[in-house]
Amino acid sequence: MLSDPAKERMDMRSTFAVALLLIMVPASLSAQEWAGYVTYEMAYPTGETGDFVGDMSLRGVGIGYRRFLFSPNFAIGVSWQWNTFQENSRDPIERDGITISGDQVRRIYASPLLLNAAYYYSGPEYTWRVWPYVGLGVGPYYIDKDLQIGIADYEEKTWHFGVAPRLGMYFPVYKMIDGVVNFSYNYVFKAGDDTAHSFWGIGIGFAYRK
Amino acid sequence: MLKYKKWIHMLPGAAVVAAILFLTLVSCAQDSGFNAVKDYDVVVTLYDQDFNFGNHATFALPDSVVHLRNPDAEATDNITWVYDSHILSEVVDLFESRGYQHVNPQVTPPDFFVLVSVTKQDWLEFPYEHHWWVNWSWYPHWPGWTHTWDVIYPAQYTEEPYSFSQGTLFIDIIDAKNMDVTGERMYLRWTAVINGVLGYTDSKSQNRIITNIKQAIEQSPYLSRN
Repeated sequence: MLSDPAKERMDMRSTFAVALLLIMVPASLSAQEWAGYVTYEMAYPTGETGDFVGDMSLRGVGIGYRRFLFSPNFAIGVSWQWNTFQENSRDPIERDGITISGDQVRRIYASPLLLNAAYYYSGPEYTWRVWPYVGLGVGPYYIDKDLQIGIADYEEKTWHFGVAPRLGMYFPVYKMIDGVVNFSYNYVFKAGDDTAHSFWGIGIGFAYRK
Repeated sequence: MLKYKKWIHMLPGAAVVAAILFLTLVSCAQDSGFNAVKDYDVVVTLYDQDFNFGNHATFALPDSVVHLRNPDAEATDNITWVYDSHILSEVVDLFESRGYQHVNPQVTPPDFFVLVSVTKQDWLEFPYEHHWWVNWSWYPHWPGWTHTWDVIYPAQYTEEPYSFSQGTLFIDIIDAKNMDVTGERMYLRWTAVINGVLGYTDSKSQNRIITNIKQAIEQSPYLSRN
């Protein structure tokens, strides 16, 4: 008998696996194009993430794959991303009559593995000079939160569920190589003992389409 | 010419691989900035939130820093006594700067006692990873192996151990006006715990200790006669 959280995890994994299979169906089912992309990711922490690490993240990477299905304007795909937030701080930590001060390294690794659905305004061809889209990503977020103060190191690794509405655009660079720019807002729901997390993301990179 | 054309087709793939490698490198965490022993200093203060520190006016302070240690441990803790007088005079100055009056308890019963003590703990650590190249990458290695090979120790650990000593200075406020006489208990109203890696006995270490004592008082604004 699985506990509710364990059952939820199993359900989430099953849904993710089915969706992954759907995306990877042979090209014969869908003659439309596919694309793989790699992006440099920047992120600005908000909410409880920003309370812990206030500095903008300039260290991140993203990779993804998307395929057009059902309609020339609609694509689904998967993406993986890694953002490193870090702030070296001396701000005292205060709670319940206890104050702790000293050099601190506050760091969060946030890594979403998302299933994405997106609507492309001008279909799979460049009828415009750019190729804008809006989309939504859902899936698990791996959050590794760490506070080092003195010789003490407190680390918490948690799997969360999150959503990421996003908009962006592709633009032609060279033959089958496109430039990619995307903006997203990542909301990561509370899980375990960890808080909820949120951050804005900006990705810039290249895509290879076929 | 044919070979050249083959390589041209591989360029996009190579560029993607290079981009992923580059982005993976830039996405790593930056340096912690912990370079000197003072970077590991931590000051913790705790206080009784129901206690009014303004109701107390006088304090007394024993003229020694007590070295706390396990009676079964070695005869000496090897902590220097050199700083003790500086520590005590700094504590007196700081409490006086907050409006409290330092008194001789044999002449005037104080409202609270300030107790200063110190302790030491030795640590033996086993780092997570230890590759040859981390510390000896400059040294020519034998053909057949590389700098990335792990160094294995005979015991269960696969890393090289290191050790350091950590010192902790305690400053306590004991309430002398409100004591549980029947229960033979005294109430601790405020504690400062100053913890750091022990370094050399020099003026820098003294400055570190004094700076941290000042920080303990500074982060306790409620500690005031006024």
